[in-house]
Amino acid sequence: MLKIAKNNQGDALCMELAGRLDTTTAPELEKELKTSLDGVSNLTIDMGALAYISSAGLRVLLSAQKRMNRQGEMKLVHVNETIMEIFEVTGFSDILTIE
Amino acid sequence: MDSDYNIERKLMEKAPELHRRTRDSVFVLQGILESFLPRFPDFTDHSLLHSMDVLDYCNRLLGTDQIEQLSAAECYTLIMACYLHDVGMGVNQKDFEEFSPHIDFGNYSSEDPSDTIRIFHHEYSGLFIRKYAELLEIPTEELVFAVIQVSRGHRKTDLFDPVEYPELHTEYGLVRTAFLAAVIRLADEIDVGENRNSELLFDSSKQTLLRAINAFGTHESIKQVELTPESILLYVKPKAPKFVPLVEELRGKIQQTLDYCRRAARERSDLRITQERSEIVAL
Repeated sequence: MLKIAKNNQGDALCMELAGRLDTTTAPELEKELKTSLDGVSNLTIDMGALAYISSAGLRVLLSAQKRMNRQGEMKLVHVNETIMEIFEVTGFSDILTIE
Repeated sequence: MDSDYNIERKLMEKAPELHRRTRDSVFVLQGILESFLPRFPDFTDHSLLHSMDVLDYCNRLLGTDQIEQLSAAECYTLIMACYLHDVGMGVNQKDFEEFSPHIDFGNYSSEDPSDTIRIFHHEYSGLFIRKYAELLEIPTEELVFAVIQVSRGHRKTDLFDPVEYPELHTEYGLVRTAFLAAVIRLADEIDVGENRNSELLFDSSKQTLLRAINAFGTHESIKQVELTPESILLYVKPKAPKFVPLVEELRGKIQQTLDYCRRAARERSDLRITQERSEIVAL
């Protein structure tokens, strides 16, 4: 189960994720991002309420990062300890912008 | 899933220094792996995203019990090979010219370097790893050899050849190269689901070449790939009727690879690939 809440302010978009980002829910986030990123130059993903991220979720984040590298910037905020451990163990803490 | 990131976690726990080297390599390789795109714009994804998928499938094929039996050297070799197996797709012109004289092309010849790279990219990957082993900070010659052989082994190489695929005894533990190559070959083969080509980065509707249209359409027809201890399940909803035989053809190819890799694992190691068959599940 994944809940996605969006908040648009001009060319800035904040997406709050709650629940699990895994092989079942990652396509939802990918579709949501696909329809939301046109014209966005500043993407913030708030992961404060995200309980878990699988490899399928990680690849959506990396895809979004690559897409945003072409049109602006992306950052992850409120990354909890569980998710941070996954970023560390996979090496993606050095690739994604985490605040 | 229980097996998520277990290879990476085990390496971090058993050999933090080796784990740090894989992290640094992932950072460096994210750019290098993108370089296949200018040469192969109509190809399915071979970037870092595909490497992540292959590593995820390796975790799932091995399962938690067998991952427990891997040495630190095997975890390191497998992770590095997952990230490096397709690096040969993106070699630049200078490396292409430098590497080509060292490859046995048999009777093959082509005027088009792209065709040559596509067909022999596993060999270009091996030579790339050899040349850039220091940049990648692969710590010992035994591990350089292991990473090269397992990366090359993702296609075509003979996993039953004990010279090409020996058991290596390294300072970080045993490396069963034939088994690792069998796992990565199968993991690469089953990365065929629709998420192979991120919707955020690829627009398959812009493809014009028949080969590309068929490849992307076949992937888009396979909604999910699921592994059980016995089977590889392809959940299929055909994008169009013409993709039905293409998906079946792909399933047959997966079964051939599965049979070969199961046998290589069984005859060349004390570890196993438990899946026996590939099946299509209609949605």
